[in-house]
Amino acid sequence: MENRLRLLRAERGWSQAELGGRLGVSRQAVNAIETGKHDPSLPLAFKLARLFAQPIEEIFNDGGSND
Amino acid sequence: MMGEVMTEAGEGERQEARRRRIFWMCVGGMLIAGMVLGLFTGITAASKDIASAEIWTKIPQSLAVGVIAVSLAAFVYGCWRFYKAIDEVELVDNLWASTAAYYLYATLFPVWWALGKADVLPEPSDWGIYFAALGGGALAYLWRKWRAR
Repeated sequence: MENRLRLLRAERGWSQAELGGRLGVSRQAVNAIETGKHDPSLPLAFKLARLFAQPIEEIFNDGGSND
Repeated sequence: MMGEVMTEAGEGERQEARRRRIFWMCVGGMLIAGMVLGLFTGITAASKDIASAEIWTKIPQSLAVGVIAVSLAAFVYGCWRFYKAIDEVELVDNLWASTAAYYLYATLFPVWWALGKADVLPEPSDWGIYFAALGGGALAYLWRKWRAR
């Protein structure tokens, strides 16, 4: 799943470890999510949304359409 | 929508370092427990001048049960702490490894048993199947780690 995590993290000047610590996950987990190798669970997606103060769909794009 | 919980720069990295320290303490603790059990077995076997595998037939049953119970409790406690410390990516990696190990065991034993009955292979080896399952799980785990590097 595509996401804007790397961009949002870079805007705040955070390392992957810094973001991982704020989320309660490892640096490797942040890397796996950023590179699309792991889709986060719903609770983790909500944590990300709260952390970046943005709706989940603004952070993640599943490529789907409502048409 | 809630704002950020942590605002101090570097606080996340400190949290991550703490989480990583707990993770390695769990892994290290279980390794030390395994080494203590191995040392106990080896030293006791050496003192009786027998092979390590024979030690369980040469010590009082109550001692054997006690040692195994303590080891099992340490293992279960270590696993519980480990699963409390890991995140969802590590959990998925562990589930992949467990599934690979289980499937390997579930297929290897009946195949080997049938080939043994057909005199193509010797009778199945308990330890061979055990270590093959552990090895398969380890390979699956390492593959997941390599893929996500």
